[in-house]
Formats: sequence, C-alpha cells, structure tokens
Amino acid sequence: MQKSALYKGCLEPIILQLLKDNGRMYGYQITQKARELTRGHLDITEGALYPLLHRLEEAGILETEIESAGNRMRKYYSLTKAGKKQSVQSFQELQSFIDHLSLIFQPKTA
Amino acid sequence: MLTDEQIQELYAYCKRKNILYYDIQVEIVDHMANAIEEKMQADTSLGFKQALEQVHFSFGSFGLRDIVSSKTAAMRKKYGRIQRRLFYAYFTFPKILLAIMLLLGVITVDRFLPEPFLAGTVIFIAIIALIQLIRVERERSVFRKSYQKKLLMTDRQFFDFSFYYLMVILQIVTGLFKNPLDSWVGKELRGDIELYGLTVILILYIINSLVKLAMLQDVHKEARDKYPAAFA
Repeated sequence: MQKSALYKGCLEPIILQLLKDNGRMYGYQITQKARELTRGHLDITEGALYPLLHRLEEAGILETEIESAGNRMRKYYSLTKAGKKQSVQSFQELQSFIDHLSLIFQPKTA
Repeated sequence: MLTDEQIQELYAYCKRKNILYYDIQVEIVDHMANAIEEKMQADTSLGFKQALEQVHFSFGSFGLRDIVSSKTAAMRKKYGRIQRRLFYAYFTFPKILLAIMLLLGVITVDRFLPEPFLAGTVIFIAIIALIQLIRVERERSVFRKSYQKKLLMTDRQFFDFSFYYLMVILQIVTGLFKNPLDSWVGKELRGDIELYGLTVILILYIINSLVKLAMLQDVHKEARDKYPAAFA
C-alpha cells in the first residue's frame, strides 16, 4: 500500500492543523510545509489539496484573502471562527482514530 | 522570480488547458509559478519550459479538471444556500399572514367590482414581474460590460432558477382536470382558480428575482473587490 493512501483520509485535519499553527497560508505553502514537517513523507497533490480547500471554504471553515505577490496574485487561506472549533474537533477525532489503531498494532501488555 | 512574460505564459497555459475563469487561474498560476521557481533554483540549468513540463506532470492527468469541477460544485452549493436563505426570509409568519389577508381582500373586492378586476390585478402583478426581470438583466448587462476576464463566481449558472416549470405544472393541472373542475366548482370559479394560481406563481417569481438581484449586486461587488485586475 502506498503511504499517500494512508495519509489521504487525514488530509482535512492535517490542513486545519497547519492553518491553526501558521495563521494564513497559500496552497503551495501548505504542500511545502506538510512535506517539510513529515521529512518528505507527505506529498499533498494539487488534485487533492485544492478540491478540499474549496470544499472547506464553501462550508465556512476557511476564509480567503487575495493579495498581490510581486507580479502575480496570491490567494491565502485562514481558519474562520467556526474553522478554529472544527480544527480542535478534527484533531480529537484523529487522535481517537490513532488510539484505536494502536489497539490493533501495538503488542498487548499483560 | 519569474518574469511578467512567464507569468502571462502560465495564464495562457491555463486557457489552453480549458481553465477559462480568472478566479481559478489566479490560484493555479501562483501554485505553478512557485513550483517552477523552486525547480529552477534547485537546478540552475533548467529552463522555464522544462520546469513547466515537470510541474504539469505533477498535477496529474485529471488534476486541473478536478480543481475546476470541485470549485464549481462548491460555488453551486454556496450560492444555492444563500438563495434559499434569502428566499425563505420572505416566508416568515407575519409576511405569510399579510399575503393571505391581501389575497382574501382581492377575492372579496373581486365580488363587488366588475368582472375584469381580477384579470387586471394579475396583469398588474405580471407587469411588476416584467420590471423585475428587466432590472435583473440590466444588472447583468452593466456588470458584463465592466469586466475583461471571465469569473467563475459571477457565472450565470449559479443565479438562474427558472419558474417556468411552475407555469407548465399549472397549465397541465388545469388542462387535465378541466372537465372535473368545471363540474365540481363551475366554469367561472375554475377560471378564477387558474388566475389565482398564476398570481401566486408571479408573486413567487417576483420574490425570486428580488433575491437574485440582491445576490448579483453582492457578488458583483465582491468580484470587483477581490479581482480588480479582471476589470477594465
């Protein structure tokens, strides 16, 4: 199994956590930060990232700002008030998921 | 840092890949420009075109198409939700009560006034509906003249909700049940029922066009604020 498939279901909490820690970020910056923090293990593809960002924006979890960055425009994403709550909930769900997985994969102690 | 010409080349690349909306192009161009710059910095012998090819490959065969379709789906959902909220705001209890009282008033007055009164009321409401239609189209036309680049956020597909089908349903119902209705309520009252039905549909149409106009004005303002470069 490819490791990207393992990460796929966790993409939403990962993005919310990155935005929580870094304030506002643009698409490319999110992919780079995820790669840097996971030492190259997590490679978020554009085809997975942008549809998710658009869905979260529509759901009111993210808000956007467009600014000039030299000779081009740049779209920044940040968490809304609802998004901040969602990021906490999302992290708890992920933590619970990891805990349950560990029950299967960690050796049982007597 | 890429040159202005190279950035324009990326916009042209988006158009070639059938990404025609500026509000989507902006995001993709910035992403590609960042990736190209990084590749060119890492390998100084790499030219812009070669770096672009590599970046294009990383998007995958359906990457760009998926971005456009996800954005379109998100917009449809968003505007649908706003439209429903604004539309339902016209149907709060006091407003419904007022509408019922007005309708009862029209029916009562209709009995004491000459026959064409009800038809005249319907024509009056139809004229208001027509004025609304003109106002919506005028807003669209004024906005259309002001931009140079197409924006997905202002695309017609999100703002057109036809009430035509309601007219068709009314026609079918009154057509199919013409004879049973005639024998049940009488020919004259059946004619009145048709006119009341038409009145209700026209009023719904007017409310819908008021909602559409308010939405269009808001979205057009937002488009100008967010993407000034798309306007002349």
